Amino acid sequence: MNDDDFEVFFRSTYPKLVGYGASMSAPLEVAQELAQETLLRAYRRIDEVSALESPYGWCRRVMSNLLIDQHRSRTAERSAVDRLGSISAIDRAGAGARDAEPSVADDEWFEIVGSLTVRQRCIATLFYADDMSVADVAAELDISTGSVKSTLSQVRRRVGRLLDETTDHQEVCHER
Amino acid sequence: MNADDDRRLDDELRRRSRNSSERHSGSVTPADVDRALAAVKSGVGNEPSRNTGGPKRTGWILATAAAVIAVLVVGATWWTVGDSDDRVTSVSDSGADGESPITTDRVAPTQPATTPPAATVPASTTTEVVDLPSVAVDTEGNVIATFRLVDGRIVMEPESTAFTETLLEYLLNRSTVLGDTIGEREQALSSGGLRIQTTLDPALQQAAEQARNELPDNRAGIDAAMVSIETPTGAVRAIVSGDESAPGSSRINTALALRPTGSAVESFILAAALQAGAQPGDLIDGRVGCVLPGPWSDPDYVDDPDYSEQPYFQILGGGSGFVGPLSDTFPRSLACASARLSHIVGLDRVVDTMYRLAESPFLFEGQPSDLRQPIQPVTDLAQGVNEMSPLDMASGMQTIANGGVHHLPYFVESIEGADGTQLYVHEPAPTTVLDSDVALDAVDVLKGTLTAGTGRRHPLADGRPAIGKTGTTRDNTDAWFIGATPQLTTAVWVGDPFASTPMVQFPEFAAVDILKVQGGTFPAQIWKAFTDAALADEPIADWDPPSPPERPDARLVLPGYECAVYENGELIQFEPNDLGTTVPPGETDPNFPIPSVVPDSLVDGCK
Repeated sequence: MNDDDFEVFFRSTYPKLVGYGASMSAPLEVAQELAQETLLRAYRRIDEVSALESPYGWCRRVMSNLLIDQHRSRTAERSAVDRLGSISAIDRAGAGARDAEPSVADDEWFEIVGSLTVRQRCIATLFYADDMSVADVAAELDISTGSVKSTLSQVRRRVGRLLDETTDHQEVCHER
Repeated sequence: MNADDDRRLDDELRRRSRNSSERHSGSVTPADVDRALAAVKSGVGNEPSRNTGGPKRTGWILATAAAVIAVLVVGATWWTVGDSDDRVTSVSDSGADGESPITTDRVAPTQPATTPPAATVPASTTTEVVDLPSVAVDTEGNVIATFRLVDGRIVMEPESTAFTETLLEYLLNRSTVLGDTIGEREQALSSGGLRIQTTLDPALQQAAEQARNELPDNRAGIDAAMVSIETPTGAVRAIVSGDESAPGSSRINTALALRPTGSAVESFILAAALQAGAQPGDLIDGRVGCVLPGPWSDPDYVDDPDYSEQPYFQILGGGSGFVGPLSDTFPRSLACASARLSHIVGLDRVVDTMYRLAESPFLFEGQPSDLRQPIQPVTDLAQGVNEMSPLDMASGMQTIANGGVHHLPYFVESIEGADGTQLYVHEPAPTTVLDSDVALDAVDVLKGTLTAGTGRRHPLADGRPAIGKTGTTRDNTDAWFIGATPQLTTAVWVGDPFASTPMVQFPEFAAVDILKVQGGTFPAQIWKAFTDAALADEPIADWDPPSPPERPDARLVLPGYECAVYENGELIQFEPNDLGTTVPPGETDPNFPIPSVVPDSLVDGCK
C-alpha cells in the first residue's frame, strides 16, 4: 500500500470507524479522535496492515480496544466529576461539555445498548452492524462465545421489551 | 420465545445498529477527514486513553467525561428507572395562559430524541421566573430543597440528593397532592411558596450515608443504595444512592432503579405460602438438582434449546441442599426449596402477594406496562429474575415486619401554604395483607437468616431481634440485604449502577476477604452498621412469638416434580409421581389452601 492507496483507504475507513465508535456511545469528538489514533497506528505499520486479509478488520479491532481503554480511564475519573444534572455541575462542565456534544441522545441503538458495558456494546455492534458471526466476534474480542451469546440475549430481551411497550403487545412477555 | 420472535428482534436490532453507525459516519464532513488525514500523515498521535497532556488536556478530559457520563446516565436511567417514569418530561397542561411547555430536569424514555440532557444547558444563560419557591424540610426543620423553575425545568437547590430526587419524582409524577395536572404541580412547586414537611430524618440519613461507607472504595464503580422505612408507619426516613457526599459518583437514583432481586424475593414467596396454609415446620425438598416446571425465563438461557425447549428446568450449583422445614430452608436461601414452594403456592398468587406486600406509588398491580414492566409469574420467579427497586423491597418487607399490615411508603407528612394554612396532612391508610399469625410465622422464619442463615455474620448489636433476607443474582451482579426490626425496615442493594457487572475478585474487596459479593457480605454489613447506629438510643423491641401450629407438620410437595433422582448434580431419573393436585393456574385467592400437603411418609419412596 503506497501513500495514495492509504489515502483512499483512510477516506473510506475513517467515517466508518467514527460511526462505529459513536454508536458505542462515545461523543462524536472522542470517536473522531480514536479513529484518527487507530489510523495513525495503521499508517505506522502500513506494510504489515496492508498485507492482512482485512485491514479494516484490524483497524476495527484496534478501535474496539481503544474504546474499552478510554472507557476504563473515564470510569476512573468519574469520582472527579461533580454530580451531573445539577446547575453547579453544568457550570463546571462548561463549554467543554458542549464541544463534546453527545452523539447518542436521540439514538435508537443507544436506547438498547446504553446500559451495557463498552465491551458488550462492541459485541452487539459487531454482530448486528457488521454482520459478524458469534465465533468471529468472540475471536475478535478474545472472549468466549458464551459471553457473546449472553450479551446478544440481553439486547434481544431489551429490544423485545421496548417493542412490546410501543405496540402494547405482550405475547413475548407472557411466553417467557 | 421462538425462532420467529428472535428473527424479528434481530432484524430490528440490525436496523437500529446500522442506522446508528451510518448516521454517525454521515456526520463526518470532508473537512474532518482532511484534517484527520493530515494529522495522521504528519504523525500526530492522540493516545487518547493515556493522560499525557497538560492542563488544557486534563480539562478537556474532565469535560468530556462529564458529557459522556451525562449520556450514560440518560441511557442508564432510562433503562433502570426510566421504564417507570415516562411522564417525567411533560408538556404543561396549563397552556391556556400562553406558558411555554414545562419540562423537568430529567429525560423521559419516550422523548429521548428531542430533549437535550440537562448538562448541555449552560447555567449562565438561564432565566429565573420565580417569585415564591416552595421548600422541603426534614423532620428537624432543615431546608433540604428549594424548588425553582429555571428555563422550564424544576431544579432543586442545594444540589439534589437521592431523597430529594425521589421526593420530586413523587410530587411531580406519582401523586396528585400538588394538583391534578403536571402543570399545576410544577406551578405549585416553583411559585406556590409551599412548605413541604417531609419524612426525612437527618440523623438516620447521616447514619445511612455513614453505613454505605462500609463498602470499600473501588475502581470498578460498584456502589450501594439504601432505602429505610419506619416499620409501623411506612414513613421513608433515609435514602442513599451511592456516595451522597461526593455527588457525581452515581447520578442514577439507584434507590428507584429496577434490578433483579435474586433470592431476596424469597421472603415474599414464604409469606404467600404461609398465608395459603403452609407452616414453618413443614418439610420441603431443597436438594440441588431439583427439577421444576419450565422453561427458564432467564435471558441467558432462552436462546439455548437445551433450556428453552424443555418442559422443565433444573437448578444446579450452590451447595447440596437438603430436605428440611421451611424454618431451615429459607434462612439458608436454598434455591430449590423456594422455587418448589413458589410452584406449590402458584406463581400467579405469589405475584399477586408481591404486589400487595410492596405496594407503593412506584409499584402497584395493574400499573400500565409503559410505566413499568410488570412483575411476571415466570417459572423461575424464585431465582429473582423480576426486577424491583430498593424502595420496592423495603416496602414489601415492611409488611412482614409490621404484622402483615402494609402502609404505602410515603415521603410527605404535611404541606403548608404560603399563608401558613394546612393544605395537606398525610393520613395513614393501612391495608392488611397477611393475617397477623402468618406474619409472625414469617418473622420467626426470617429471624433465622441472622441467627443461623446467610446473614449470620452480621447480627445486630446487643442481641437486638431482627429479620432479614439476603439476595444474590447469578454471576453476582446484584447483591441485596433486606432487613427489619419492629422499628425500621431497610433494603440495601450493592452493584454497578451503570451495568450488570459480576462482583467477583475485585482487588479492593479481596483485600477484606470478599472474593464474591453476595447478599450476606457488604449488603448485610451495611444494613447492620446502619441499623445499629440508627437504633442505638431506641429500646430493644421484639415481635410477639408465633402461635403454635394448627396441625401436625407435613411435607409440601409439588405433584409430578417430587421424584427426580440425581447423582453429582446430574439428573439420572425423573419419574413424575401423582401425589395430589396442584393449585389451579391463575388462582390468586391468598387463602386458597395448598392442596399438596401430605404426610412425609408418602414421599419417602422417592427420596
